[in-house]
Amino acid sequence: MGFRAKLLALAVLIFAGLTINFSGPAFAGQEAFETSGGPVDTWNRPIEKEFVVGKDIDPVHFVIGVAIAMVLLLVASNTFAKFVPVPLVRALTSVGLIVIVWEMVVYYKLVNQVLLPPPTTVIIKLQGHWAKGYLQIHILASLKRLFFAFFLAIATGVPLGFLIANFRKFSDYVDPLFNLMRVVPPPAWLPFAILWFGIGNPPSYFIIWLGAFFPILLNTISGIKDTQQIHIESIQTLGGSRMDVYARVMIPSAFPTIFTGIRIGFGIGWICLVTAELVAVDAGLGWMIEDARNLLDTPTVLGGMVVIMMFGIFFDTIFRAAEKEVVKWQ
Amino acid sequence: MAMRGETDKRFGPGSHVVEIKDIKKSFYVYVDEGQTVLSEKRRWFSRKKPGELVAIKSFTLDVDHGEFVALLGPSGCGKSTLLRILAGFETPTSGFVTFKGNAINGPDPQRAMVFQSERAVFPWLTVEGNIGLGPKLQGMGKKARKEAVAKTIELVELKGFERAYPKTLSGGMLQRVAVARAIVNHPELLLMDEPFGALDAQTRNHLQDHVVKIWQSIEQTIIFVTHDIEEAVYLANKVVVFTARPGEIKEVVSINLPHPRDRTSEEFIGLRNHCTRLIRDKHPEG
Repeated sequence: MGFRAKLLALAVLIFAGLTINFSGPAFAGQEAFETSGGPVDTWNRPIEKEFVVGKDIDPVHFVIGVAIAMVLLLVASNTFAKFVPVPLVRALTSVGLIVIVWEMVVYYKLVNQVLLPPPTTVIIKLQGHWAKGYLQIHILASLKRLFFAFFLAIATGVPLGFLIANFRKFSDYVDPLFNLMRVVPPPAWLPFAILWFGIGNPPSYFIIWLGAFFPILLNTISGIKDTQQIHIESIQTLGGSRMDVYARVMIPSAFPTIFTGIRIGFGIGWICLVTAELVAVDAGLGWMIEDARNLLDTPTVLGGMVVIMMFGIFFDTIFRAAEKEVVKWQ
Repeated sequence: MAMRGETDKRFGPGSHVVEIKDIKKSFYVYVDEGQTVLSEKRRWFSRKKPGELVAIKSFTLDVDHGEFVALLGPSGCGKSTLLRILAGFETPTSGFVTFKGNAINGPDPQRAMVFQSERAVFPWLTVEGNIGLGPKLQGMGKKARKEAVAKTIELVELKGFERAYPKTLSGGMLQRVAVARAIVNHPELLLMDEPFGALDAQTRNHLQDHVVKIWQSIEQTIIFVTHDIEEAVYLANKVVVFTARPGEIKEVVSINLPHPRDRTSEEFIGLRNHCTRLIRDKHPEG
């Protein structure tokens, strides 16, 4: 892909990130959930059926199943080493071991199942939430919020970093302000974020933006400042103007560093998202956890954590793969 | 002194490509009590005093069209500084330098430069992209650009590596990309700053033949900085020998041997020894 195509793709992504936020109900289940005729609780939420350990998924079968899957994977990784990624199998094995021990500890009543809901309970609970469309609403609410604030952080962090790296006077005035703001952990801004931006999405946008903005800004500054003088002189001797120095030397040479900043910023934004959702919003994975906590619905709390974990890993994998593609010249 | 961009009336057409008149270049540095140069920047709480480092002093030289001039001298004698002045990256402290009758005012694609380090090649562009960037910046059309790039790639023998990224190329190949990038614009003047200094002897000899071939195939003027005496005598038809810093001209040696030159011939060895002696005796007066 050429440089212009990349710029265009980035612009389209930012635009999409900004517009998706203002679209209507995102999936068919949403209305069905809101108007379902079944029994509902105080918040107009369908009441869950009681879960009984051993009824929906048999813990013994579950443990045996996980153990067999682990053994099969290990055998496969030894026999067909070419086709099976060995590090992944090892990682899955250690996760599987923990899951087995966890399930057994609760099954043999060594631990109270409210204090540590077993994996089977969490799975059934999540499945129930998914079937009702309840989980999707929260995942979508969180993702929209995250991407909006994240693209806002890119759209502000990269240009500001570029200006700070290139213009000495601007940097002298502005850089200290950002450094002062940077050392305050984003959640500490929550009270003022709510006072300033009110209840709803804006305060959480602000918190997530704060978390994602600084890694992007700092990496952009250091990436642009690390531009080699010999590259700048090279393009000048080829007839490049000042704009060519910016667009054809500084940006491409800083791009890998900027991209790393974007990846780190996304990770921190994801952390800030859940923190921000604990207050002042009415949907989202963080809110789901907080709401379940109030009802002592510990399987949902744990389930929410698992979903957050999976999405975190998913996005990190995507960003790492994209990073590899971006820096293929290095 | 000629004003910016304005043609100096003293220099009509057909005169020298480059005229260097009595230039001096000094840098402001910080020195300690013994006048030893310490750094270019002043640190807090240090006893350094501002001082002056003279790199080039009363230097005068004319270069005609089609000449191959080698600037030869010990390291630190100011020959690279002179080349950077010609490229437009530095301005002389006093005196003046003209290119085709105009005062040099900043870098220009008509005075292309090949840098000492092969890191000057843009690592984020392919070989093709690196060579094609100059014509692109000159506003050349896509088709004409492609042709020019292909022709230049053939000239430096890099066929088959058009789509390769610089990280996959060897040092010698990278310097050939750098040379191709400079000559694809057909510059009037090609400035080369010890381009083969970091390469092994065999690759260097091979690339020297390349440069001679390029010089013969496209009519242009080359100014070549080197500290390698044999390289200077092998390539140039005018070797300018520098004194140690501050750099002044010690002697201009004309070399009228036809290319390709035989490194083992008597005349070659005689000229090489002459240059060696010039460089070795640093203090002819005392």
